[in-house]
Amino acid sequence: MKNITLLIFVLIAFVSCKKEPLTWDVDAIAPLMRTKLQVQQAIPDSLTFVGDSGLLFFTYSGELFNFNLDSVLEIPDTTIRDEFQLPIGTVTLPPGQTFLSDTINNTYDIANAKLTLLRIQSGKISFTISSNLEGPSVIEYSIPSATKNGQPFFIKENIPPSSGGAPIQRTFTYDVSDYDFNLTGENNNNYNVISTAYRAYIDSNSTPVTINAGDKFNIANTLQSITPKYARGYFGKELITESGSDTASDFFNQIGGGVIDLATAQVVLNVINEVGIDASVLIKNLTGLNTQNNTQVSLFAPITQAPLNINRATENFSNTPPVNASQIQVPLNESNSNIANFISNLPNVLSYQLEMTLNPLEDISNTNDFVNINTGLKVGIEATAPMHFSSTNLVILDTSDFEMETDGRKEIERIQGGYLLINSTNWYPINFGTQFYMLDQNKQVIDSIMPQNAIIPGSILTGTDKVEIPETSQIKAPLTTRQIAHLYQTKHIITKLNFTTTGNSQVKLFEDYFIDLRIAGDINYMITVE
Amino acid sequence: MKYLSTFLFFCCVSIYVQAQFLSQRPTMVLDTAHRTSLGLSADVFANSDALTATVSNGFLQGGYISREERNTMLNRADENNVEGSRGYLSMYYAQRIDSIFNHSLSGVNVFFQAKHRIDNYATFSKNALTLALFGNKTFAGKNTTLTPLSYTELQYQQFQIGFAKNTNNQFSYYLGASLLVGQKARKLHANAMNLYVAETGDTLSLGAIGHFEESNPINNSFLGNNGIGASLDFGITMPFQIFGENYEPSILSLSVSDLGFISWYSSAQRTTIDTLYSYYGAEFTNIFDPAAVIFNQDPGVILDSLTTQENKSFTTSLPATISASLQHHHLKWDYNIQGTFRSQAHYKPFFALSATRALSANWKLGGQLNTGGYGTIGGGIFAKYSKNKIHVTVGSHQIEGFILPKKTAGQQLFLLLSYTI
Repeated sequence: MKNITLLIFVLIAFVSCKKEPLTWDVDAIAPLMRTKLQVQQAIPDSLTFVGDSGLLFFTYSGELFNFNLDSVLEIPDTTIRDEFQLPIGTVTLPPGQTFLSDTINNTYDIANAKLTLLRIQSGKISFTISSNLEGPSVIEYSIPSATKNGQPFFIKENIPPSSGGAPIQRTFTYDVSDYDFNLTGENNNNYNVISTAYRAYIDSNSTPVTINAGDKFNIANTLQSITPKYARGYFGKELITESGSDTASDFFNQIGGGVIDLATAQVVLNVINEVGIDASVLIKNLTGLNTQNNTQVSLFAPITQAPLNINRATENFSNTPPVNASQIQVPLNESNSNIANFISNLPNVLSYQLEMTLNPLEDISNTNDFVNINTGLKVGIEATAPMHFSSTNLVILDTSDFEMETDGRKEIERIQGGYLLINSTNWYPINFGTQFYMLDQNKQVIDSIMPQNAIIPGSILTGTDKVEIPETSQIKAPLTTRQIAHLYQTKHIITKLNFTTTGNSQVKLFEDYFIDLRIAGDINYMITVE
Repeated sequence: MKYLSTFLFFCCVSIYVQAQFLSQRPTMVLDTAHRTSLGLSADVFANSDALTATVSNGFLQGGYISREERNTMLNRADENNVEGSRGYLSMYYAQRIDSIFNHSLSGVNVFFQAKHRIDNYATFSKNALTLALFGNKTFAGKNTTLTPLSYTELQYQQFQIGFAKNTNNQFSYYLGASLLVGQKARKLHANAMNLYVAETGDTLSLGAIGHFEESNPINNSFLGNNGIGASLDFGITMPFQIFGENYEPSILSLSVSDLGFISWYSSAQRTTIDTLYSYYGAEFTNIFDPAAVIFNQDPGVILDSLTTQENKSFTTSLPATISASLQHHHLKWDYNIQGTFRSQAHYKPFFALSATRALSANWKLGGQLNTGGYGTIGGGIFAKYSKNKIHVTVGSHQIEGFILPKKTAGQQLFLLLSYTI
């Protein structure tokens, strides 16, 4: 019995031992992912198109310069005053008696311009009346040349009497938006002139008012914050210079270095004049700066050597659009410019210096210049270049957000190490260097995936323009437990692609080229049985 | 990989296993001197001709299986390999009856037995073993056949009633009929299974034809009822003269046990697979947009899409055991030679040689050498103690797995307690 008891206790102890998991490691090889990689995927759709022969083209369309000529429409705030004062004596005015009345042609000081018509987008006119008359009065004010829906501007306000000799002051403000101001004056033969008329009289419902010597009635009216939406006249002969720098294209900011030599490039500058003013344009300087390589190339072209004259736009009074802009296209190519070199520098910043002369021949329109608000002179660029180039270590960078799924983390962390097998079939005549950098939440690089100098070799052209036999290769990228741990800390990934063309000549890229990428894991994995 | 590992896990998970069949008269057959006997027995057993005891010990205690240990298993393996583990816990009661329906009886006893049984057995190829132990990298660039691959797990209770007749302690026979209550059955069988791994790792293809049957996975605890069945046991012992008449006759025993079946209820599930599936990895339409994934599925989802499942009852034929033994007593020694075969259980013919010596009136000590079954060559020792009405037998017919667990597999422990009056 004692022996049996001992045996039972031994069995119980055996079974009750704390059980660790059972583990063993295996070498596993399995596909992880596959993709068809094309250059077009790395470049925004708006920057590429496919030509007739399947050849890929770079394309870019955008604005180089855009100058609003709203500055010629600046109307300064202007105040006009008038006053009535009885010098001597005393006079008693019956109700309804006019004591102040005038018609005035007010000339506005608008620098360099002779305006005949002004359409107001927004603005105000204010009246400040100061009176020490001891009876109520009425002021009527009109601007016959300012009309809205055919009706001239007219106001009528009551001014209460002063008391105890102290003047009473009133200010009235009126919105003059959408008014058309004819600035030719009473006889329609002038410019910058606004004719106004006013009458001040004793209130008809009042008793007679006695006015003594020294009593005053002052009127001040002010045009303020006038923003025109249209102006016509003559805007003067004016030289405008503009300079600055701008981002050429967000895509070029993805270029991280390297050199590209384009075989050819076609650029058309579109100079568009949206205002009714003759102009001449000279691009004194247009320099493309590649901030990665710290290189710059200045454009040499006809438009940088001599001014380009562009006619005024014309008005279309009965159709839409109301303005027919005037346009000149300036082609740039290898024969008249260094445009290929300019683009090959891959400028991500453009600095420019522009000179524009308005009315170089002065007032040949007989004060029929016109300007609409938010219009001016634009210089646009349309560039195309076939993907026919040679490149050396041209780097494209792309940053994307990344979050490793935590489902399956336990299983993934059982990977003890191994390799990523990057199998590729490359139709491009380009050697691709690849690297993926892991960044943490502070965008600090914490690790990378590919081995140093990992290259997907490019196909070799065999006497024709088009690749006939793709290049197949495999890269073995070590995969460590440290990299796997870092993947879970990664919030962003920088993809870096390095392009170097194969052979000694420029290569063409066709739309049906691709890299067939198949990534597998060759890993040592710890199997765990709980 | 995961499922194959699970398969091997179930091969080794249970070490509470059926006893090695003893070569003499079953304990339920009373000898002529006794009228009543009751007893308890327990037996656990595991063996394999490829796996070592490292695996079975590992499933119990955990730990890491080194490459050296796994290489040992692989070196032991042939193209076709087997594994078996069984266990039972039983109690019995045998009672002599002198008459029935007013007919007098001589040497007859009835017996009742209740037994809890767990039975696992499997066959697997060397390639399947390599895959589970070392991974699929070994097969890179090759088309590999993984069959034979089959695994069965049974858990049930046996309630047996029978009678035995013993004329003179030499000639006896018995017959027992059992009601079987099934808890759990799992059967995996691959008719064909081929694996292709591309050398570059970018393609994984699996062709499989087979099925997996499983009884209701809910309510499969002890005494849970998910199936019903019946079985028969019967046997005979008789004197057999080998040596001259000057010697005691030897005792020849022949027996058949577990001739029966269990029918599992319609809550059981049958999963069938007949497919060739290739996996190339998650497909990205644009590597610059990690969200643009066309295809990326969990292996479980893939498996569900390739298999057909239905709730369907199925019947399991029990592995019947046919055993023959010859025992001879000479002076203080008992010698025994035995052969056993189990049907439908991937069991190789088993042969054993035992010798037992009486050390005293109460003590006997014996040993056995054996070959076949689920193992290769093995052996064990056992001790028997008898005093008055108490009989205890404890021992093992497979101790090699305890002594050299990293090189051998056989492990068995059995215990028999009986009280006989």
